[in-house]
Amino acid sequence: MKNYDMPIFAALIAILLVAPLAIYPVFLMKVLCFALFALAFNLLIGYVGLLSFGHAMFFGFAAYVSAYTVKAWGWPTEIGILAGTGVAAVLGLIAGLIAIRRQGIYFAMVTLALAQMVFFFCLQAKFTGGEDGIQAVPRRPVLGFIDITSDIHFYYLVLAIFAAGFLIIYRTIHSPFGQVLKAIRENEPRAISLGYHVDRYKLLAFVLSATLAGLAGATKAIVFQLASLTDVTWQMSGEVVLMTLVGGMGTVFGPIAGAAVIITMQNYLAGFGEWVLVIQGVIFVITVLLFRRGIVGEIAALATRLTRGRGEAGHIAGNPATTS
Amino acid sequence: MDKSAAIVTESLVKDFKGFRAVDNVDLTVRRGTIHALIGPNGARKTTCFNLITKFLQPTSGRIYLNGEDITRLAPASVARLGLVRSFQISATFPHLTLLENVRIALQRQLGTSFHFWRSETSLDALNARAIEILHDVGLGGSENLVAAELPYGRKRVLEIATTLALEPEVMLLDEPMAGMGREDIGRISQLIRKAAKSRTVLMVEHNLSVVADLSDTITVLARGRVIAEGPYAAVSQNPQVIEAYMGTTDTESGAALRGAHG
Repeated sequence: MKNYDMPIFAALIAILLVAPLAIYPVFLMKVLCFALFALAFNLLIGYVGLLSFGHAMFFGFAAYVSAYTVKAWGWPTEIGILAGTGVAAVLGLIAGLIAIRRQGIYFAMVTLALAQMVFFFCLQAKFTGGEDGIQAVPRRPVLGFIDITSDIHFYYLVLAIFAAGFLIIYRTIHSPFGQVLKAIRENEPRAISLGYHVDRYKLLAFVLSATLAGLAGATKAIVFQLASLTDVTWQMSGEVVLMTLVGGMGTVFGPIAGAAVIITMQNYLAGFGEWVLVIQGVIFVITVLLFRRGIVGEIAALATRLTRGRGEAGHIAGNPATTS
Repeated sequence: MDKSAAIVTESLVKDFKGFRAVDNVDLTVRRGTIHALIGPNGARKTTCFNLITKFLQPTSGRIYLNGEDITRLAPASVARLGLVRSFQISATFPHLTLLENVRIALQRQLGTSFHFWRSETSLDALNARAIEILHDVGLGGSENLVAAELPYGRKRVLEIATTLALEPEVMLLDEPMAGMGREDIGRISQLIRKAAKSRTVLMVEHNLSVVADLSDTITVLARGRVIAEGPYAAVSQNPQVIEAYMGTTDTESGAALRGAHG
């Protein structure tokens, strides 16, 4: 089957380039940050089959690190974002070393427990500002000359970060490493019997996922000029699961669609107050019951069915010998 | 210890919570032979297999591969030493194509398996070899099919092809013919015989008749102990073996001994 991923991605970027003409850039930046977060999460659940229920620790903690280094230490924006990303990578390595020894629900519980530890650390530590968080993080010029104080300027930088993150994940999935990941997801004992030390592959995937989740969180802190406890709560870990499921687990574009839907809902249904959570719950249930492949997954399945129908007929007509 | 042996186990024991599953098994698989490990249901054939391939850790005893002690190694490390196993339930990568299935085995030798920044087109260099292997086992021309679409017998063939791609020195097959029709059994037997020309094969089987003319040596296991060993002619006449098979309530085993599946 022909691969349309790159043309679709190019079209998506083209749309996003002109989107600020119609849509409020801060909202778009929020969607992009969460889309990158969900993409990072999807690398783990969709391509390795590991359900992490603690990804907020990378997202939220990286946000604190970038906000703190930029505000308190006066680091340049780009270095602050990189610092947040780097700390998330180290945190990912530590959490990964502990968590990948377990599978299934135990893996999810270990990641959740670790994330709760990070949450309490953030709650108690001095530098995070407790309940207030770190506010009024300055937006200094990137690389010393790119002014990002205006949202529209910063939007294009966030778009570039998002695109880079997407391409890193896309390449990872379509690399020799990605092939081994798929083999592990499909049949782990068989991958072991072919001589692959699967834990090492899972660990690298975990660290990559944590790093990119950190990049998303670190960027978000600069967007909102704020790092707060919300981003390290277990609810945030749950939200990224929801985004990925709604969009389509294990699909290339699903997490982006899922993040866009959930963030849009939260924004436009904000008037309902706490009821947003109930509405989200209902959507979650509907997705699991009726659209298990998620938005993008269902579209892709439909497309395959349509092209397959034609392709198969041609195949049989062309090669009657293959039926033997 | 026998130096001409590919695999040697010494007093291999496996306890599960006080229950002795495998009891002092001494097994010697000579290099370049086809060795069958057979026994009625519950003989712990697969448990032995899991111990040898290190998917289970033995309670006591030693395992040697070409004279090297592998008792404490991880399963993936054992595979890297050239001892590669198959599984009782067919072990393919169901949503990958046949070509990708075989390529997974081949790509390890490139040493780029951790390279997440490299394009997967770098693996295309292996395609010719993968297609050749598929062709050799009779799966030529269907390399772009997804493994899940294959009929059961062909899946087992694909599994053997993937195993062969590693060019293992010792190949362990866990019931390669279980659940197969007569035609497929013939095909697999042929494949095993061909593969064994340049390597050692240890296979677990349920049916004595199936391995009769395939294997050089047969070890009969019952309740975790070795009860007989030797060529088919000797083993099939052994009263203990006949009792082990007939004594079970499983009628298929009895039928197997009489050669109903042959």
